[in-house]
Amino acid sequence: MTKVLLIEDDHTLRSFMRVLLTAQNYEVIEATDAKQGITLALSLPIDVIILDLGLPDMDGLSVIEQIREHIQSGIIVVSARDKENDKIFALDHGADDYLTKPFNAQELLARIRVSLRHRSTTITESVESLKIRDIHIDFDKHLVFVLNNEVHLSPIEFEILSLLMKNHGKVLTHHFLLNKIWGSQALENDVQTLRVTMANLRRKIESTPAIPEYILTEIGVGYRFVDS
Amino acid sequence: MNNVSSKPLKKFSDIPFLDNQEMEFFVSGNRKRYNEFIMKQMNEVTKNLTFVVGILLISTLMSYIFSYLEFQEATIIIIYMLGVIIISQFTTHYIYGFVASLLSVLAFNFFFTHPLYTFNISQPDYLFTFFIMFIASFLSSSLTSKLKSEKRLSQLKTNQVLVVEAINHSFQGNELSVALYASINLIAENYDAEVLLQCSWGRHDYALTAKSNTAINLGQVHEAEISLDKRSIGKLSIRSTYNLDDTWIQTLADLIGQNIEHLDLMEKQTQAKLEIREQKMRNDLLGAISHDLRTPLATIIGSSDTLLENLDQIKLDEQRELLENIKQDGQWLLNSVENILSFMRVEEGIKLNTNLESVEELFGDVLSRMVNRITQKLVLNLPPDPIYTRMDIQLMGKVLINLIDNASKNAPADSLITLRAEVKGDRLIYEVIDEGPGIPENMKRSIFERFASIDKVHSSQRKGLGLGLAICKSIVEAHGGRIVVRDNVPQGSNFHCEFPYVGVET
Repeated sequence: MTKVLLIEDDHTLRSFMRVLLTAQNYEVIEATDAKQGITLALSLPIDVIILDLGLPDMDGLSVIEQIREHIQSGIIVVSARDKENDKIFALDHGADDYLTKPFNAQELLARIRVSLRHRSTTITESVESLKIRDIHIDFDKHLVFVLNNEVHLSPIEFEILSLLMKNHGKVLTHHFLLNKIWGSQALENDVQTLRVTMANLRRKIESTPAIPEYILTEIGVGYRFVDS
Repeated sequence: MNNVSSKPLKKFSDIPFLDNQEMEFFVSGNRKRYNEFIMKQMNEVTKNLTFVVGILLISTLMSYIFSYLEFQEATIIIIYMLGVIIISQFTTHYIYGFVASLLSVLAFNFFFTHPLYTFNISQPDYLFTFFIMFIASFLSSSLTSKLKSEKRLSQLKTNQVLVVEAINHSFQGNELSVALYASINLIAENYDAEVLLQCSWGRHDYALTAKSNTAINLGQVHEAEISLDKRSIGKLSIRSTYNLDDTWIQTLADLIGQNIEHLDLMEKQTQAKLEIREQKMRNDLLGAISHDLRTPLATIIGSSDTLLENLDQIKLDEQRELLENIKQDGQWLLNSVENILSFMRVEEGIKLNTNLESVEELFGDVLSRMVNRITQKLVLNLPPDPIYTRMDIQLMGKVLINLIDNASKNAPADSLITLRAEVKGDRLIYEVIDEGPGIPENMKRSIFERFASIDKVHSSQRKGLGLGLAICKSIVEAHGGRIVVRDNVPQGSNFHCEFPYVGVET
């Protein structure tokens, strides 16, 4: 059974998550502070970790650091709104996804599902092609089809779409994308270039670019390819 | 104009505005005016003397005629005396009356006493006549002079009253430096003077100078202390060729002091009123927050409590209804908290977290958040070319969400709400358009004030804090924009936001 570790100090929040996840047939393990959480993470075979960034005894980022040293399970961070920087930093330093308080049941379950999926197949595993809903991408031939019509993308647009689709369901931060596409030379103001490229990409593959169905904007954080 | 310096200036020569070149011009300009002044003086004297001689000649002529007509000698004396009075009336100094009296006696002696055409007198009692004539002339001339100077004095007094009124007026509704500057210019113009005012008030030191175009670098310097509460706060110096009374200068200085004090009191009063208003708003806010947080909590606690107590007795669909209520009120509570937090940020003075953002992304995000929260149909209307602009995207999102929420509360459940953006020249425009009842003309401005609210359309909706639109306004204005509500044709409201827009290289 899939094991989910909750590292959360608020007991009502823990309670709702426990009930929800148990109802979904996950095995729920709870930790009420960082130390306990780290111990449990490193000693049990955990599949997904839900980590609150506002823990009393340790800063969430340090927790991630310590966990990531040893294990590769998915980490979903939970934080309050207006703490954008914490979330982004966490995502760029080992976390896989994020949730903003207050969140509802669907969001939590969706995040866990995506995290589990991507943990079972690593990103570096080469795949020839991928089809998600109406978009078909062929990595070998560098071709993209939307509703069976071929769409011409620039090399960079293709790179971005590949990354997004390979990590479908998962949020990719601006920084992650810039790093992967433009390398570590990417500067702050290249976020603008990224945005423009994204806008162009949307124009090519979305039926209504302003109301995207595939590439969602996570305001202040990055982008996510939605699979359903 | 206005020199605000921290050291008091001691003398006119301390005024640090002249460099060598300017100084030369000043002096040479001065010399010209100085010469002009002297010329004017000399012209005055010449004019007066000509007048004196003229009148005396006329008097002599008339006396000749009367003596020819064998009128009495007394008549001739009276004619000369009349001449002297006329001279006193129209000359500018009492000396001319004096000189005229003397000359008229001599003329009378020369032309009309025997032996004629000599200054000798045949009868000694003529001396007495001459003496009386002289005294009479001189007294009547000095009386006339006095009358004239009285008149001038009363004019001066009227002028003084006018100056006082004008100074008082310049303090009305003006800030201190403006009022002081106006006052000293008034004084300079009225007395052809150069005026220097120094005073320290509040946290400022003022050193102001004013100079009339007709002022010259002559004349006596009059100084008076400006004091307030028996404490000296400054000095008023006036250099003028006018014969100004020191008491009067002191009066002007005191007047200025009083006006400064009055201005200060007015400011303090305004400040106090403002503080009282702020206090009241805080109390209102507390009351509103208390209501707006407690109300949804009442449902949440009540509903969940009911379920706990009576779970077995309550039917499944009723259970579901209670749970829905809990969820909805939770969302309502979240909204209120968000708005209150934004409001608090506004109170602190918003510090925007500005970045170059895509309007398309902003709108897409707002849409995705609102589409399931409202019953109305929400559509986007964007131009084909993407728009990028600097903004705090979190706060701007809040504005749009508040506007859409507001529209949703007031428009029919199945109507259309449009969110549109457009670039017009150097302006970026956002609009939220609904098909509701619209907003009456007299409320179009007041709805943006804090705690304002319009009567709700649906009874299922709850009245809100009334902060939503006020927050929108603050955020829009913090971005350098403005927000107004207009009527939508044929029906509804158009909340129109306009921002300065700089085209971005993409």
